[in-house]
Amino acid sequence: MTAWTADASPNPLNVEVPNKDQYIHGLLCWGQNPAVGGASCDFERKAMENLEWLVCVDLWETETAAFWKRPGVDPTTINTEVFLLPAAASYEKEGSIVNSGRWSQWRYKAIEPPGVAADDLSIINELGKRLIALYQADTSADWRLRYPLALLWWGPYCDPAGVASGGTAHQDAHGQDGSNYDDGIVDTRTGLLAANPHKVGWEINGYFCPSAGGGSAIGTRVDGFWGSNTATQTLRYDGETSSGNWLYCSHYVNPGDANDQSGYGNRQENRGTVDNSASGIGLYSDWSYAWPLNRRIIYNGASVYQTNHPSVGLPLAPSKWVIAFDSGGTAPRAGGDVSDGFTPPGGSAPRYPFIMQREGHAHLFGPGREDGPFPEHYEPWETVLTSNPLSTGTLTSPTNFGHARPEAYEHPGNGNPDFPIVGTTYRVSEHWQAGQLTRNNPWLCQLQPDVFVELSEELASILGIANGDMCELKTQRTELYGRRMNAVACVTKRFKPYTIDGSTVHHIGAIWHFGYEGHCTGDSANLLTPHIGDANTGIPESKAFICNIRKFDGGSYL
Amino acid sequence: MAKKRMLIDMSKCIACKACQIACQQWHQLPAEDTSFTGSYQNPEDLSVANLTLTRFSEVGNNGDLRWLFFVDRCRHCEDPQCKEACPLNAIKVNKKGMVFIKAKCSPTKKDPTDVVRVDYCSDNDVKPCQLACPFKRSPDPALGIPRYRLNNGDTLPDGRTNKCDFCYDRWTNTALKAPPFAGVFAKSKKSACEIVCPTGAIKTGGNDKMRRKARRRVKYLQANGYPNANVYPAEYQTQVIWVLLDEPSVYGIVGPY
Repeated sequence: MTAWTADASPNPLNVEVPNKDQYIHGLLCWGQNPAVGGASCDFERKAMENLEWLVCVDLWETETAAFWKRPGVDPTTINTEVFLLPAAASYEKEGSIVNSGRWSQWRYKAIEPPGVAADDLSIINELGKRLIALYQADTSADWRLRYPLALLWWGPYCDPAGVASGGTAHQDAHGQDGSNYDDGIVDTRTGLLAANPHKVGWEINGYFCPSAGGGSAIGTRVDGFWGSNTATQTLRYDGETSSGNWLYCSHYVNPGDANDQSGYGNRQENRGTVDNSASGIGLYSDWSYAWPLNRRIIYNGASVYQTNHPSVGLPLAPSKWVIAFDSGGTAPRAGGDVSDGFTPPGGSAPRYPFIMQREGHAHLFGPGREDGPFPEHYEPWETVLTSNPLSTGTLTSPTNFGHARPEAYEHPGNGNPDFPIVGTTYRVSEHWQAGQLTRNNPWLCQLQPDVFVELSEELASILGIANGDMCELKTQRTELYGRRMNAVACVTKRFKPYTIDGSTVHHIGAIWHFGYEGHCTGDSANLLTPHIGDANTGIPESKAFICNIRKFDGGSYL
Repeated sequence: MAKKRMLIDMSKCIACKACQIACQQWHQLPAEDTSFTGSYQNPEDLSVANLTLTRFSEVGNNGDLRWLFFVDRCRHCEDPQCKEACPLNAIKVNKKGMVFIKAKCSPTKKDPTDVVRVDYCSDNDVKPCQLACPFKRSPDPALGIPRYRLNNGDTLPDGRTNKCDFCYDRWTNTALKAPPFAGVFAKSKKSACEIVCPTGAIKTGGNDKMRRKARRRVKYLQANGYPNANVYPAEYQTQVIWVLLDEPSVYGIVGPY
């Protein structure tokens, strides 16, 4: 990352780094549609014109895949080579999906994909293998660039002995081939090697790869992440084990594991529908796998009395206990969750339950936030205000995450009279994100066929806009890139002008699912949004900006 | 066979329109070409391809504003006037009380010697069943619940008139009671809209049970901030009933109640 962001920084590889403006040659776009979903999306579309190549892996030709022929541009002036690879939909492939409750659940293939559409994994497998072959063949390249790929082990099980001796047997302790991700079987429908998602599961879980006969046999899967350098089941810190992600150690264990229902170790396929919690709180720990260690409630050590309390280990709420330790905090009670963050007395030094925080306590706000340890109200990056009415301090956050190209978030000036209206963007239930999956479905287009902008009856009255009128919206971005947004007016009682510091402020909202491809088309509201990110997460600040609106063709702006 | 009743609880509806799509899927109906006309309500009205429709209305203002949703469809009258009016005897009421229009309504399946059909249905712009329906929304008699046109005025290739049929063919479909559906999807023999409703606003069940459930819900709503909550229709006997948050007239509902 250093080489990307600062030309003057020391270059650890001592390799010539091109000017950062030309640094990104190509883009792999996997089921994403930044030409609609990206903040300041017209800027992103223009930026793609600098690419030498673009690979889109998707179910349809998206706005991103078609950026070179979008309305208003001359395709002959764009030199980007675009590849559109047909992808399998989620129900046309096997694999895992993780939810925000940390469950990793296995999905099965319901139907074959149409035509030559392939699952992501097989496409990645093919790409990886060909890149490795290219780097292995090109002996003229700088070894520091070449070796990381030329020597990459492309399969779940490392086997240093096999590589060194030119051996071919890379089987794990259960006789399964770990030398590749695809079993060497070509899918005759696609012509691609058929990748096996289970092998990715083995690699992410982790396994033993002893270099000198220590530990367990090659390929024996680990079932946890805390270990010593003599452990035979869990990750070791002496290099005898490997894991794609320590949080997932134990999600794909050895066949015969007591916690596995699949018979071959894939705990993500567990489908136990009985609540196994003794207190009846609904843990359902035998349904799928929850990282880490199938723990359903993280930091559950906070539900029991701590070491310095006479009732150490007993639950604070006895009728709905999550974990419990009887006999003075030494005997774990059966029927609870996997314990997290409780230190039994007498052993190692006690810690507070929130083990990933330095102080061991939960935070609502505190150390580690970019914008300070104390809560403060900041206006959005763009605001109709010129001073902060809630604080004598700064108007907007000084730590917002800016784009590398300042023109992507050029500021119109707070309180700019050209943009006196507060704008926001949102979604509707009829469309999904950037619209590939829903704007290609005539039935869903029927329900929500056009992009619309909602405004109050009061603002509509001032501007002479009637319900259903076509409107034109502008922000600093549309004036910079020359493309204003059109949307149908939805005049509604649900929007109201509000009073801030004695002044009336109008507020409008538009949906952003739309683009120039698909069954129903329209302008994305991301034509309006600034390319600025939240200070802590970098998530685009697309929910608030300043703008203006008028009736399209003849109306005047506020 | 005991009668079945459908309860649509508008206090639980989030207006996601999933019922509209599920209905079109099960009945294999085409999507209509629509445009946004200033309301989330789309298509604009019921049609031969949209047998159920979520109607949106904004009532009140400022602190008193309510965004009301009404999932409109055939009421499945206990004494259906459309059935009486149909010259072809194409409208049937089954033992569960479900009122549906049979395929023989389609002019493409007509008997060329069937003078009655030619006279009363195919050549008439307004069908007898539409005229007879007591739930016409406007002075236009074609806007009874049964429809044979799309919103743009076109008709479907088979030219038939259609309306909500309670998914009677799911309730009696033996395939949906067999594996892999039986047990896995216990509700799969019920109406398509009920299965997809994410909030449980649409429920079906025994005649009396559903009526009791509706009354209980209204009692709860009346005690919790909705003094005008009511069961619709209150007296007119139908197999589909609604829980409304306010009087039917506030929703713009016309016809007997």
